[in-house]
Amino acid sequence: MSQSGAETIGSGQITFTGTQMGASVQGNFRKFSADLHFDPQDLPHSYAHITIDLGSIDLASEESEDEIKGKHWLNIPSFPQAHFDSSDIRIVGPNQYLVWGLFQLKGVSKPLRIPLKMSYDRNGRSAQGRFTLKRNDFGVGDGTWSATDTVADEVTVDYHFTLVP
Amino acid sequence: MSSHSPAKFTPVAIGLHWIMAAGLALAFGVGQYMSGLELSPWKLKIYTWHKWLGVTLFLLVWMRMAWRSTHRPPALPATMNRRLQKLTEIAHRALYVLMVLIPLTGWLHSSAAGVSVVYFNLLPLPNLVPKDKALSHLFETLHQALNWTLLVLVLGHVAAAFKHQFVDRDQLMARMRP
Repeated sequence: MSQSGAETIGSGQITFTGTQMGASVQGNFRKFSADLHFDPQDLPHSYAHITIDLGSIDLASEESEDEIKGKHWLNIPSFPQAHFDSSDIRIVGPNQYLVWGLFQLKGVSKPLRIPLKMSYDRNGRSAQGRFTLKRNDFGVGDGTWSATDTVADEVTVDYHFTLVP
Repeated sequence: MSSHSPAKFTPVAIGLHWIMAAGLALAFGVGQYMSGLELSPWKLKIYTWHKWLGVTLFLLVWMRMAWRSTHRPPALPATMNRRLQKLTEIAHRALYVLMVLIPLTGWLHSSAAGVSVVYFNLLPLPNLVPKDKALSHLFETLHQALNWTLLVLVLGHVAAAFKHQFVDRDQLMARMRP
């Protein structure tokens, strides 16, 4: 196990689930990258910088993708990426951690706390977790879309990464 | 033709026929209207209502087939020749097949688009296939093509009923009168 050097994501997925009219809607981002280092013995020097290429969004519908890339939703021409930069990682249980950091999306920065579960197998280490964002905190879906009766405010994000040196 | 063949459809069969006729016409009309809309909260709402109506029709058609299989429908008029009777039987079977396949392809299209269906906001239906854009397009095309096929068959069905009523004057429509 590397004790110091930076790691990156070998393979992984970032998926999200929103709710429209009470029914779940799934999406995912195909492209993202990470610069991270995780040492359970040295959490103060562990960190994660995640960059998501928002243009890689997959909603299985060109119409929905065109809409969400537009200015009312993610406004990708002006804000092509989302970033998460960790500031503090604490252990909360066996192989379970909480990662505090700053999340930047559509020109808005908000503190975010992300649960992290590490697992170890023959192929190496993997990290996964789930958390919930409020889209209106970031102005995602403004104007006629800001009302939450059609598209709910909460969006659940799931991630699963394998880590490679 | 069996001598036990009833003269009229049962009230349940008549009720299901007309409720489904109204529901299918509404779902078809709403489907035509909604697909041309620009994406908006209204469009998401109306798509959801269309899906609820589709699920309702899907449930009704199974009830209707169960009823039909246990309650013999009246025989076709003896004045119709064998070939026409056979054609009528095929057309009626095709109508049932379409009434099953159309909501099913709609459900598959929604599943492949990653959008689940929660019937009347109460009963979550399982996603039948994983999210996949190509699959979503395929089921959308299929859903539309089957709908146009149904429209053609329904127009033929109505034309045949009118022909019996106004040309043959054999009182066939009375068997399905509410």
